Amino acid sequence: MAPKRTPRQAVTKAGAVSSSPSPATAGASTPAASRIPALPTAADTSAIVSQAWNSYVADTPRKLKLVDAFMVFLVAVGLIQFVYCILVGNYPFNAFLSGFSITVGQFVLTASLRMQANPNNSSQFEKVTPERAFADFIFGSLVLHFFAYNFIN
Amino acid sequence: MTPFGPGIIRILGFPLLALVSLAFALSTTGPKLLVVLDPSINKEDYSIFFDDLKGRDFALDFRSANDPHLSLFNYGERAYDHVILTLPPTQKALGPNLLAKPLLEFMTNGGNVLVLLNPNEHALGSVREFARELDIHLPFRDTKLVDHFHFDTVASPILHDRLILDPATSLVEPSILQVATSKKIMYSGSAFALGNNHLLFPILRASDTAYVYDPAEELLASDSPFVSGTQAYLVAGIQARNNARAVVVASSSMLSNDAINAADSANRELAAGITKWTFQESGVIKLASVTHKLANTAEENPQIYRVKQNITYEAEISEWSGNKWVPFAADDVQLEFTMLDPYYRLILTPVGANGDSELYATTFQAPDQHGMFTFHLNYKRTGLSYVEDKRTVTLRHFGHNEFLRSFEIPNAYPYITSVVVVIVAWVLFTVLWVFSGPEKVPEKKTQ
Repeated sequence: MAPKRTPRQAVTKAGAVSSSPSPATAGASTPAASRIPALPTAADTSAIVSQAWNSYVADTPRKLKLVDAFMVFLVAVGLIQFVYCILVGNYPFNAFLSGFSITVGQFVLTASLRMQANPNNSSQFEKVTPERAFADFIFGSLVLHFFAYNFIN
Repeated sequence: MTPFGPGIIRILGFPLLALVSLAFALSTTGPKLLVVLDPSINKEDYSIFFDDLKGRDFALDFRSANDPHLSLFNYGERAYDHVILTLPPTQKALGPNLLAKPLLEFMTNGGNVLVLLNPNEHALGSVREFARELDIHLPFRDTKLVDHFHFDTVASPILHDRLILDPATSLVEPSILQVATSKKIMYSGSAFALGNNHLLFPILRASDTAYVYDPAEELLASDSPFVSGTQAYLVAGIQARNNARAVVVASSSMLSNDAINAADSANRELAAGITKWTFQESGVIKLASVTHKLANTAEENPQIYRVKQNITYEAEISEWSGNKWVPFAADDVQLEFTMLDPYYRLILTPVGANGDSELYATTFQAPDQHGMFTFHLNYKRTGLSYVEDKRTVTLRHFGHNEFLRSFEIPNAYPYITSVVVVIVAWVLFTVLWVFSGPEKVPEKKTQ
C-alpha cells in the first residue's frame, strides 16, 4: 500500500496512531479498499483538538484571547436571534434586522481589529499600529451602534 | 269672525282638499292616471276595476285613443304619472302620441305603463313594437289560449277557451302578489312569449296543458303552437333601471266585471296586486340614509381613511306600506368595498328599526391597499325598487409615524435585548482591552 494517499490520511499518520487496513478488506478487493482513506478515530480527534487548544492557550496573547471570547459571544447572540426568528417569526422585521446586523457588524469589526492587532500580521499592516486599529474599531462600532439604535425604532 | 271667513274656506276648500288627497296618495310617484280607452269598450264592463283604482286615490283621466289633444307630455314634462292602455281601438292606428317611442320616453321619465291587450283583436303595430322593446313577443292575430284539462265547463264546454287557473302553480312571482289558494283565476284570451331581457319577469303563466292556437286553422296550429304549457305567459312585468314599471296583461277580460264576479274568483285581488305593483304602491323601497365613519367615532362621512382602519358603514332602508314608510328588514343586503374589483363583499346585518326605516350596519377593517375605494350598496331584487348607492373615499397608507414602535411589540423584545447586550458587552470589551495591559505582547514578540 502506498504510504500517503490523501491529506486526511497524512493527518492520521501525524497523530502517531497506526491505522493499517485490515487484511480481510485488503484481500477482498485491493483497488477499492486502497481508495478509501482510514477514518480518524475518536481518540485521534480529541488528541488533535487538545493539542490545538494547548497551543492556542500557550501561544495566543491575552488581548487576542479577549477578542476571541467577544467574537464567540457575538456568534452566540446572533445564532439565538436567528433561531428565535425562525421559530417565532420575523414580525418586527426592522427589529430583527437591527438586532441581527449589530451582531454581524460587531463581529466583522472585531475580526478586523483582531487581524490588525495580531503581532503575527504586523508585517502586513506596517502603517497601522494596534492603537490606531483600536481607535478605528471604536469609531466603526459607534457608527454601527448608532445605526442599530435608530433602525430598531 | 270676519265676514268673509266662510267664503275663504269655500274658495280654498276644494284646492286644500285636493292637496291633502295628493299628499296621501297611495302611489309613491303620484295619482295622475291616464286611461286610454277605445270608444268601443264599454267602461261599465270594467267598473269594479276602475272603482277600485278611484278608491285608492287615483285621479283617473279617461281619454279616447283617437283624441287629437292626447299627449303624454306637457311642455316636456310628464303630464301623467301612470298610463293604462286598453286595446285595441277600432281605428287602424293609435295617435302619434301613443307610438312606441313616446311610451318608452314616458317610462324613461319615470312613468309607469299598464298594457291590457284585448282578447278578441290583435294588437296594433305601436303596442306590438312597445312590447317588443320590452322583449315581450305578442301572439298572432285572433289566437286563443286553450286547455282541455282546466276549462270552465259551464261557459265554454266545447271551445275550452275559458280557463280556470290555479294560483298556486300559475302565479310565479310571490313577491309581487299572492292570492288565497282556495280561489281560482278566470282567464280567456291569448298568451305571449318572453325573451331573455333580464329585467323582465313573468307574473302569471298558463298551466302545463295549455297552448295557443288559431281557430281559423285549427289543425295546423295545434301541431306547432305559438307558445304552450308553462312557456305561455299571461302577465309579465318589467322594472326599468330608473324604477319605472311596465306590466303587460295578455287579456283585459281578466279584469272585467264578469271575471271578477265569477264564483271563487281571485281576479279582483289579482287586478289589485298588478296595479299596486305597476303604479308604485307595493314593492317600493328607498334608501333613507347612508353614513360611513371610523368605528367608534362620531365624525360622519370623512373623505379619507387609512389602510387597516376599522370602518363602520350604516344604511337605512324604508319600504312603502301603502300609506306610510315602514322599516324594511331583509337579510340579503350587501355592501361592496371596491377599487375596480370588490375587495370586500359583506352582508349588512339589520340592526333594528330607526323611526320609519331599518338600520343596517357592518364594521370591517379596510384592506391593506391604498387608493380610491367605493362603498357600493347594490340591492336589486325582483319585485322591489332598485337601491343603489356609491360613495367614494380615499384610502391612504400609513404615515411614517403611525407604525408601532418596537418596544410596543412583545415579539421584538429579544431583538432589543440583544442590541442592548451587544452594546454593553462592547463597552466591557473596550474597558478590558484598554486595561488588560500589554505585558504579553512583547513576550509574544520575543518569541
